[in-house]
Amino acid sequence: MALDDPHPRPPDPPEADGRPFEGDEVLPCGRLLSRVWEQECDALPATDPHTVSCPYCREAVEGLATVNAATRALRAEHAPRLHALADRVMNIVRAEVRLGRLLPLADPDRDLRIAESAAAKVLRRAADTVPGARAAGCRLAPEGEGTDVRVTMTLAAALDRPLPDRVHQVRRSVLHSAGQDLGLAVTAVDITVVDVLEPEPPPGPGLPTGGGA
Amino acid sequence: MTAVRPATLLGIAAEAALAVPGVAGLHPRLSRRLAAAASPTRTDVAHRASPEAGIRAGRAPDRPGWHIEVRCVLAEGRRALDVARNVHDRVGAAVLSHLAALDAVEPVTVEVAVTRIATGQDVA
Repeated sequence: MALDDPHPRPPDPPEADGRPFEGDEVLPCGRLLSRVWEQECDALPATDPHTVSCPYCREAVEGLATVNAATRALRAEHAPRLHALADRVMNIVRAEVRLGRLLPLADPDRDLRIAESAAAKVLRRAADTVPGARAAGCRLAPEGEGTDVRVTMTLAAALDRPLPDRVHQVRRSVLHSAGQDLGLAVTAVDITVVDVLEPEPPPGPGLPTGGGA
Repeated sequence: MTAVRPATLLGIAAEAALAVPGVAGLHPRLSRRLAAAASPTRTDVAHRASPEAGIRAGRAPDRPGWHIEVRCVLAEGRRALDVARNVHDRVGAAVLSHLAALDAVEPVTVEVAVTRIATGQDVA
């Protein structure tokens, strides 16, 4: 519930006759989730015709009852199993954090987004297609109020050609991929060369070299 | 007018999203994955993998009507923007059609988030 809800709650719930909890949820029927759950815990719903017949209240109570049962079971767990649980939870949270921020796709009329990690993976691969270049890092950030996005990339590059040419090639490849593969409105690609890429090894013996050194 | 169950909307939206070419799967929401991790039995594999876990359906926070959020994993090979547009439009149409069948038509807003683009063998 609250974990998934990025939207602000209505400041004045229609049926709040007491002070609601911060982040309390107003159900589609207008009741506060906290009050419905309190009623359930106090075994009062049978006296309230609304709670008995309302599908939203029933569904909310069923969902919370599941969480409640899981919580009670966990309180009875032994420490090693709790550590395993903590590991599972942390792995899930880390995976969620790794998604990065959600960036707008280039459609101002629809609410379409892509996770930064998903977009960065595609753009890094585009950079890697340029011979003598390897993407080291790639971050993306929205720019302005619309759907514009700015890319910041760090690069390892070989020094067998002038760096500005190679960086220009990488930028072109990234811009092309952003439009063609993703549909992102990238306004700029800032590239910093942070490492030197070792030259590729010469072809092995027995293979034609195409002309000698 | 029949009451609209958010749980029903989840199923309808999931089915519509999964029917879009280029959608490899739906990405379960954080709360659903945490709930599955804390499940006392840990045998609830079907629940953890259910497509509905990638959908959120609720009343729109700042206007009348329903708000549907879809988190999807795409297969490589199509432009993410085109697939996301398609998901947006099909999910919106499917939910509206369901509301109309219940004589409960209300505005529907849809938000689509692409969380991953699966490559080669790691298609979800």
